[in-house]
Amino acid sequence: MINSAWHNLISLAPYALSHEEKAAIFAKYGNELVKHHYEHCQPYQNILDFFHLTEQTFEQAPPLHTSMFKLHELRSIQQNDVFKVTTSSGTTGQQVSKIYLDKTNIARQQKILSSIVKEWLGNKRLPMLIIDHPNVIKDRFSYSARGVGIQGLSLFGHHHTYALNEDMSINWPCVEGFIEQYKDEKIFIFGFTFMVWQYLLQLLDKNQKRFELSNALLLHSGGWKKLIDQAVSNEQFKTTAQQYLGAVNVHNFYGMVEQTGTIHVECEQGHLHCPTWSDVHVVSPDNLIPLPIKKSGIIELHSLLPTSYPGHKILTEDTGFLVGIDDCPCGRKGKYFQVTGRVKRAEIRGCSDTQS
Amino acid sequence: MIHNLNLVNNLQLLFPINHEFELEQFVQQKPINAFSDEVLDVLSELGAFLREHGRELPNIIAVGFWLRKQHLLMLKSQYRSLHGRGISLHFAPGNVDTLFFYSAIISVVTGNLTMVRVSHQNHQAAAPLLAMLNEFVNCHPLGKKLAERLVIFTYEKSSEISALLSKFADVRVIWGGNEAVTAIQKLPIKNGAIDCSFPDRYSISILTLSDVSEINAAATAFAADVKPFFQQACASPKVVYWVNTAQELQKVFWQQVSALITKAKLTLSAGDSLRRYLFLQQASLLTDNNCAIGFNDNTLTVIEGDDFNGELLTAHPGLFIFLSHNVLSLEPINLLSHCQTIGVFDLSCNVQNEIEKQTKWPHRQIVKLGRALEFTPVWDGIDLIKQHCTEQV
Amino acid sequence: MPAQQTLIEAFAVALEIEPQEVVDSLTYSEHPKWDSTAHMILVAQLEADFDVMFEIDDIIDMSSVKKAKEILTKYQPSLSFDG
Repeated sequence: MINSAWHNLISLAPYALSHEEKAAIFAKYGNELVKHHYEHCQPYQNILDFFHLTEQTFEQAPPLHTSMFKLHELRSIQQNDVFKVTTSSGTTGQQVSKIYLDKTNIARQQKILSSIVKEWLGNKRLPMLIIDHPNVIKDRFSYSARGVGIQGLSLFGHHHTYALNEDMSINWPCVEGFIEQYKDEKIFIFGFTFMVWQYLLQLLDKNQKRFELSNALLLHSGGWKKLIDQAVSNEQFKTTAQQYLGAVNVHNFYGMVEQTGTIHVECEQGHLHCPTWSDVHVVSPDNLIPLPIKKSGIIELHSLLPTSYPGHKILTEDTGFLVGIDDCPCGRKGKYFQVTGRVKRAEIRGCSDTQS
Repeated sequence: MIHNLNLVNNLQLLFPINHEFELEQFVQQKPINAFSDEVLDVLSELGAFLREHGRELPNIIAVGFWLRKQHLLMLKSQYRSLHGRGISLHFAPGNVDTLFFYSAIISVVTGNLTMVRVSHQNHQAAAPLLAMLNEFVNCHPLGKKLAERLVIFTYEKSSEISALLSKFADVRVIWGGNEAVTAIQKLPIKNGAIDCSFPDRYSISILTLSDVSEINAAATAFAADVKPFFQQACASPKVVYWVNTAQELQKVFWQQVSALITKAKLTLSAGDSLRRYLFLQQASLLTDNNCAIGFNDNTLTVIEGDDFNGELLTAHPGLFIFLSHNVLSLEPINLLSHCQTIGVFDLSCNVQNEIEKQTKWPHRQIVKLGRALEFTPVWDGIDLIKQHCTEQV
Repeated sequence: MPAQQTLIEAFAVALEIEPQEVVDSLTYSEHPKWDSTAHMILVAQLEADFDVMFEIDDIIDMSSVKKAKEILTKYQPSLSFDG
């Protein structure tokens, strides 16, 4: 049973294994994982058969395009074992990804996420300010990506305080009260990148307000595209956050709803790090062959976590490059990388676009 | 009639450029006889002009080739005396470099006053031909004659403007996908006016090879049908039916087609590649029949299968993916109702004859392999010349 | 103008080559200037200069100067390309 392998995997440290040691783990458990999904997910079996895999190895398995989870029901568990379905935050009218989770997978995601976050936050739970409105986690059965992120990270906080009202305005009494109460303690702030920028930092700027936090950690993620459109760099984001919030360490992280749990947190050097249970390949769009360090390509993400759905190897629509392996000056082992943007949508040729 | 003619101010005139376009004045002109000497002179002079000045642009030469006097006279000889209907309004894609103009030629040659709306997004593809048309008006003595009867413009997506223009139309020609066609069809036209619509279609090829010596010609012709628009044109084949053809010959054929596409430097963007992977991963989930990759290299992919349904064809993104089906006779071939073009390669002509006997098939046209994208006045089963005319009075 | 002269000029203009290159053995796709685009210009030129209207199959078959002469003679038997 594939889940039993997790007794060994779950207690590993997030950033202690060299790439070589990780490769051995991926070869062993990765191959088992591919066989597991092949046997338990009929569509996945069809896909692998379609590509005539000579052997069902992790290496040979095609990375599934993230849209596959939008267009098809992909799960490797029985319908009545589905405990929760998480969805991606699609903009209106778009189809959303549907990720089928059983209790085991949810618990595993939480455990791995906690191993990773503790590396950055410490072992103690901290007063937590969430840059969002409370209704974003209303529906317990079907969480959006934003809901998943908030729900997953809430574990590391206490006295959770939502900074925004439902109309995205700042809930001033709430925020000011929170800061007054905890200004001398280490606090944890979490939000989606765009939300933090647009609805917190920009508004503080507009209202000529500043907070003087003494020791805070801001984790933020997702939605860089909107900031790239506004020409906001990661550097600028950090400086602005420190300007308006005070002494705050800012860490971006990169993760996908298809691989919840294994997030890739940005270190002090500005590099995103793969934890033990995930791997990143930057591949050429022409043939999906991995590219060498520093070469830009499409980001392919591997994770050992998913057993209830075949999300162990996915092809994102993000572009980036590997910065290095095992040798980041921050001391963490494994691959580290940067995300640079998103692949431009395919052009429509031929006559199907007379209306536009 | 009271129209909000101010809307016309939103038109961006593409031809004739640097002219004032007065809609009211334009639509008051009268249609003339089809294939009149005067119009044939203008168009064949334009053809010569394009052939002379467009040498670097094969698709513009193709328009010039189409406009040679002998070809126009040949078309004329196929019809009895006809007269233009009046105002012809065209909705054409801007991302296809010359289609808008073929559409316009039919309407001009049949004596109609012609208005063409080129779609706003990506209309740069039409720019080279538009530039040459404007050049013709500026420097050729007959240019003015064309500019009087033809106007080409674009505007940002606006059903108000489309509705206003539609009210003047005696003939409306709608190119585009199902959605665009349906949206425009809803806008009222004059009483007795005619719509010619070209919704989404798919096309196929039927090939039979008996000897390796035939492969070169077949591959060259096939590549000509799929290279333009990266196989995304409705007339480009997505499905290939092999009649009694050895696998070995098919393999060499695909290798040659792949080489021809590579030679043409049709490189896919990263977005194209992702779309391609997505379709390949989806393919086996979109059909209940068996299907699997047959031939695959970095340029083209062949999916072998028993049959291909509508869902698979709708999701098909072009980009050099071919659905291949082996048959011993035509009997198992099951075409869907929106099948447009059948391109045939058959040196023996036995299969060709058999295809022509298939009265129950839903296809609109049969052509020799390699000529699927050539524009003909009978397109998609619609005789555009007849639709543009009334009996001569 | 003799037919031979008209033919040579039509080829030279359409393919943008020297008149002395226009010999019977000149063949489609073997001369770098005689590609599919030039072929369309050539056909239009020959049609205009000889006042003929080619069948599609003849347009495709016109793969050499020699072949062009044969096809033209088919349409206008009085033509002579000697000398």
